[in-house]
Formats: sequence, C-alpha cells, structure tokens
Amino acid sequence: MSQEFYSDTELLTAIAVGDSAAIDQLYKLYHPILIKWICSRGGEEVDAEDAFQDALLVLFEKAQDSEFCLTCRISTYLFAVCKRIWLKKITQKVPSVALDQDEEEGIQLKAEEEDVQLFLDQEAKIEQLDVALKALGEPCAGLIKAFYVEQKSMKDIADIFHYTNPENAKTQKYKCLNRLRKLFFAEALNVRNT
Amino acid sequence: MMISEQNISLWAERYLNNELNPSEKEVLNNALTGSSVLRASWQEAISVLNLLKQKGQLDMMRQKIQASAFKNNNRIGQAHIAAEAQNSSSRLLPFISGKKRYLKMTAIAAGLVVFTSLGTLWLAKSKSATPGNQYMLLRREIENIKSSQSKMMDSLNKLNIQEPIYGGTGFALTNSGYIATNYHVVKDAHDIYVQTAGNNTYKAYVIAFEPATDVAVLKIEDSAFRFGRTPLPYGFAETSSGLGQKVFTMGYPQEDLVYNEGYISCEKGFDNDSSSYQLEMVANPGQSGAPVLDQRGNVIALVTGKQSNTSGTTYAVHTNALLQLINSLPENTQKEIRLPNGSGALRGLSRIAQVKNIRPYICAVKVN
Repeated sequence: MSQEFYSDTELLTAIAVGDSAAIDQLYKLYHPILIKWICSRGGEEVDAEDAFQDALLVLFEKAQDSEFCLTCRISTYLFAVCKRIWLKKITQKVPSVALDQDEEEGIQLKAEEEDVQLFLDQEAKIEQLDVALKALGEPCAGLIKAFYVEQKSMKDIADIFHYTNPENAKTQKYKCLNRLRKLFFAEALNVRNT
Repeated sequence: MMISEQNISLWAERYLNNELNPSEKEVLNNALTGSSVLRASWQEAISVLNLLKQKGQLDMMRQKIQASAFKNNNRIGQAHIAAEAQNSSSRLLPFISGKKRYLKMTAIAAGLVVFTSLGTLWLAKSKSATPGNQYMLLRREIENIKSSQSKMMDSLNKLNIQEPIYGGTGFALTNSGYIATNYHVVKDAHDIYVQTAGNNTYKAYVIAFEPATDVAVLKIEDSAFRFGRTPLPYGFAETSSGLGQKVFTMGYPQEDLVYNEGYISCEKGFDNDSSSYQLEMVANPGQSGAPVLDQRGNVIALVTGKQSNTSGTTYAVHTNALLQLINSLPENTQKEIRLPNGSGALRGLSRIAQVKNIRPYICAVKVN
C-alpha cells in the first residue's frame, strides 16, 4: 500500500512537486465517485475521465502557486473543479443541452470558476502552441520539445539530433525558437480573425 | 552583445532563468525602452517561453496521472497511457487503440486465472496442454527481503520504498531510462522500482504494454537518470535468428546479476507460438524480462517463461514484439526511444568483456 497522507496541507505540498503517491491517493479516493457522479448525469465515461484528469491538473497548477489557499477541503475543491470542467466541455460540445446548475454549488465556490477558466484558456493556448510546433516542422519542433518540454540537456539533444556539439544545438534551438514565436503569434492572429 | 530581433529569444530565456548580470540588465532595459518593435518581440518571446514551460509541466503531470490510472486498473484512464497525451487535441484518437488493448488484456486475464499472488506462477495453457507440459512465468517472489532490506534501505532512505513482492529483470532501451521488461512482471503493480547495477533504486512507471506478447516498456521517473555515459552497447535484432544460434542472457533471479548461456533449440515457442523462441538455457524465477543476446551482442529476445517439467527449456519472445509495441506509441515518445542498431561495441570481444559492457544496462525490476 502507498503511504497515507495525513492532511490536506501535506497532500497539497506533495501534489505541487508531482509526487506520484499523492496523485495515486487522489485518484484512488475520488476517481470512482466523480466518474459515477458524471455518468449518473448522463455523461460519457470518456468525458468524465478527461474532466477528472483535467481537474487534477488544475489542482496541480494551483498547488504550485504559493499564494493559493484552499478555503475548503481538497476533495470539495476537486469535486467542484471536476464538475465545472465537465459542464463547460459538455455545453461546448452540445450547446443545445441546458444542464441544471448544481443547486448548492452556486453559493459554495466562486473561486474555482475562475481557476477553471484560467486552465481552459491555458489549454487553448497550448493547443495553439502545438499547432505552431507542427507548422514549425522537424527537426525544429523536436529540438524545442526535447529541451523545454522534456527538459533534456543540451548534450543529449546534440546526440539525438546529430549536432556536432551542444553549442551548435543551442544556436539552432534559438533560431527555432524565433521561428516558433513568429508562427505562434501569426496563428494567434489567424484565430482572432476567423 | 547587441540585442536584436534575432537574439531576443536568447535574452528572454536568460532573463527568465535569472542569468543576467546588472550591466546586461541595463543594456536590455535601454534596448527595450528604445524600440517598441523590440519590446513587442520581447513580450512575445517571454510568453512563448512561459507557455513551453507550462506545457512541459502539464505533460509530466499527465503522464503521472495516467500511471495512476494504470495502477488503479481503470480502463479509460489507462487508454490514455499509450496516448501519453502530449497534446490534448490528440487525446481522443489513441483511445481506440487503448480500448483494444484493454480487451486483449481481459481476454488474457481470463486465461490466467491460475495466477495467484504467491510469486512463482503456474499457468496451465488452454486445452492442448498436457498436465506435464506447463508454462511457468519467471517472475520471482522476493523472499529474502530481510537480508536484502537493510542493504536496500541504505540506498533508499530517500525513496520510502515499500517491500517489493515480485521481481523480474529489465534492460535499457535508451540511456535516459526507458526500460523493457515483461508485462507479467509489472501487471497489477502498485509501485515499480528499478534497481540498477550500481545498486541504486529508482521509481518507474509503465509507458506501454502488450499482454498478448507479454512485453512492457517502463520509464524511470527521475528525468536526470542515465544508465551510463556511453551509447547502449547492444543493438536490437529486427530479423529472426535461426536454429542453433548460440545465445546468452543476464538477469536478476537473486540480488546479484546471474549469467547463463545456451542456444535456440526451436524456432517456435511454447505451444507452437511463432512469436517466441524455445531456448535450451537455464533460467530461474526473476529472470523474466532479461535480454537474450546473440554472440555479436544483439538483443534477439526477452526471457518470458520456462517449461515447468524441465530445468533447461526456456521461452523468450522475439525482440520484434518489443519493436512493435514501441512503434505503436505516439510519435513523440517513439522519437525518444530511438533504438540503436548496435554500436558494434561488442563485436569481437571476449564474452567476459561483452558482459562487462552490458552489465550496467541490465536492472532488477521490483514491484509491489
């Protein structure tokens, strides 16, 4: 069995650094209930799973924010965020379906609404970044992902991408980054114009 | 250095990493106040860098959440594992393959009801198998925990490791901590630990698995982890090896690495299985997942099980099964697991020298 956490504070600290045992615990404790809740409202299991995983991501990002203070139990927060994400995504998918807002929820948590919105905005931006990365092509996209996303060392990257030395790879990386920046903001402009 | 449109990314990155000294900061400040074009580019560069960082963190977290889904045996969450969800837009596609994978797994699981939680496992394989002709998986129960625990704990006090229940063997696919082993070794695992030749223990999680061929790919959590400073000494055979090919293997049936050698005695494995070899080679519980190498030092197969009523008949699944599993991964992950064709480092060396070279890349896999 995994180690038990004693308090929400400890759990929050552990989540902030991506501790696997803490994620396990949250998953084990709350996953079944939330999936059941969403499915009982006629939601698809796949969407429920997505919403739950996204809610954990929201919690992860909030946990890293040193100014973030929970005003309720982690479980309450996670429930609220998960439900909110699911509702938002489902109404995006099927706009005609009007879902009843949860009765008690409205008064309980206003803050989580904002957290969810920030997360969804960020998600949209990252999707846009992915589009730009794709347009960037190889090896540039791979090079950038290896360094920034997968956090590989310049030396490893030089090996993988067959550069003669890390210094060369680095020069190349900055060139790629410049192109990515232009693509990303051109893309952003496109999105706004359509 | 002059600040220009061309090197603004470099400056932005150094700024975010707090690498600018006071005089550089001043140069930067002057340049930015002097040009609105440059200022706009600066803003853009900063946002792209921040976004990349966020993407990296979220991807890392997603992988971990999916590892939890795997442990909790959740089929939908699990489906995302293979997808790895590098970007959320691709998340729905791999779901299909994930689902298929799950179905296969239940099918297998139904065939394996004789699995007990007691370590050495016997599997009476379907109708054709006669009672004396049984297939035995080679993961081992770790009994000698007491003797090894203190040793382990010394290296582990940071990790808060739980007592491992089962053990198998794994070997490096990449220097960066991708590992191949058997699916049955990590099946039902709660936590997975990898113990390297240097006696260090690391936490690992499952990246992909294929129950039908009994192969799995693990990844060590610590992103700074490296097996060694040189490329992998062995390559991976893409073609089948012939009858009579001399082979050797190394694995962890006990706390120390054990070497065995033998030959391919039949080109088909247990029950005429054409995806594996039958070897005449001694193997013991704990050697599941160990690489089988030919004389030139190419990995040709992975040890999976042995015949229960003889001491020397061992089965090993072709490297091809592993390559297929890797090919089914999302492109990004595949790129990371670019397998070497063999650096030729082992060719012509004496066996002792070959073993010495390979040793650091073989590890014990412990699960609970």
